[in-house]
Amino acid sequence: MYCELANKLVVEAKRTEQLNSRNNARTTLPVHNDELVRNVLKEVTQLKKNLEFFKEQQDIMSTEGISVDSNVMKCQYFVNLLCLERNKRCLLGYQKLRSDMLDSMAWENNGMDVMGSNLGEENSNLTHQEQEYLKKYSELITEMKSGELTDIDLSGSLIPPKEVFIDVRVLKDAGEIQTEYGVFNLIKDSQFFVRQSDVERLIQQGFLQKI
Amino acid sequence: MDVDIEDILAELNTDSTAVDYSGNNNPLSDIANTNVSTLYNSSYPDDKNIPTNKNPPGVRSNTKISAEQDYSSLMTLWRNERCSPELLPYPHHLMSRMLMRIQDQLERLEIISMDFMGQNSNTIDNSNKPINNNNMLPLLCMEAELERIKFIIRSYIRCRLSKIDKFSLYLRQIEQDSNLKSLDDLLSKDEMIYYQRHSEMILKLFNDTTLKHLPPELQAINDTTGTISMIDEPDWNKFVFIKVIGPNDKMLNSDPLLKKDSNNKFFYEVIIPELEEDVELFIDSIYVMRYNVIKNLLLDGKVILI
Repeated sequence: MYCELANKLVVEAKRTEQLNSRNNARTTLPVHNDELVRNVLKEVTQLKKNLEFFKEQQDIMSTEGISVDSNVMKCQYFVNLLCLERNKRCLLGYQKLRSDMLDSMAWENNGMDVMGSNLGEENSNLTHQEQEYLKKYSELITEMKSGELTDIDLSGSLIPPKEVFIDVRVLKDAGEIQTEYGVFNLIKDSQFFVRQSDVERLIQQGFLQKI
Repeated sequence: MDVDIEDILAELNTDSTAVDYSGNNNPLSDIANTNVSTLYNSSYPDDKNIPTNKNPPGVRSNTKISAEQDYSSLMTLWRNERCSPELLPYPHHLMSRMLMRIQDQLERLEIISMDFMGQNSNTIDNSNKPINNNNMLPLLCMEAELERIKFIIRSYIRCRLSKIDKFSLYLRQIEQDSNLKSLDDLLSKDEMIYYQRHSEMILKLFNDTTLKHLPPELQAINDTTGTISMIDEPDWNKFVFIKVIGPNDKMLNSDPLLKKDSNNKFFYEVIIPELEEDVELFIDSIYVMRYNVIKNLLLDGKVILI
């Protein structure tokens, strides 16, 4: 039937949303369903042709002065238009959900230390338009941080700070990493008693565990 | 015969407290206070350029400005922003003062910690006795406090940004409609940039992926003539929890909106348009109300959201 494929697209979008809301760790974007989108777009072009055809018909009829069931024609035209609109809604909804997820990804691991790597693993799951969008959005976020709000780390943690000092354990990464407030030698499975503000970035990156 | 001399006593008190305030106060807040006043004076002419129709709660030019007061009004603004369905006006004055203060405090912290380092090396040079006299506690407190304030501002701005994302089309409608209030009032400069660039980006993404395949009459992203309006407006009828706090300066008699009931209690009267029902909002009590009913009271700072 009309718009069935688009419906499938929306159902898939809903599923990804639920998946991401349940495991609240990191948002993972599934593969962009290229084939389905392409099929929907094919349907759209078909509908578009229909519309044009109806228009022509109407024009011919009006010039020839035949008033044969113009109501039926209008109805056909209208149904087609509504289908197009519905397809548009579904497509945009799917795309919007994906772009929202990209936004949250950009905020999550933005500008921490390694900016370039957020185009790494998910690379395959994104279309190139989305990659471009993500890159631009990350740029925008970094610009926002360098503006008036320099002292406030906008992409920092949204959990209110409780104590000044916390215990952290190094998870799996070894090597000297942090150099901003003096060097920490991060040896695997070692524990530190450090200031929270120093390690917030490392926790966000997943180097450290356990507050 | 009872003679009420409260007002005379109050007059006397104002005199003595004025002396007290200048004399005793802990040095930290004193420094902050003096700094604030100079900061405020210096920054005020710049801020005057920004047109403001209504002063947000707490930002009143005639009230005295202190760091503490600013902080509490920031808390109120933050709470309101998080609970309200719409984007509230940006507090330009308050934020510029707050940001300056943060910068100042950061510098001061650095200087103090440098002093600590210097002292430590000195004492080590003299002898290796443990250093107890220079206490780290104030430094820690200052750091923790700074972290907290930074967190609040961060959360506030992030909340606003997410609302900007959500209502970007609606904001554009406001922008084009000249009879509504201007966006400069609603957004800060950075937020303006963010809003413009992000909506541009999203539009480009949608254009590339879907819109260019559609017939030209369906390519608009802000179509309101179709079956469903594509512009997300704030949900004006959202229910919110409010607490009625009354006028800012507690001059109950000066507020024209306040009324008195038979039990000598003050209340605001609002009307719910759908039901045509009057509701009396007593001061210091908590209600669940539709947002559009209490919107004006909220903007005047007479109720807060919780």
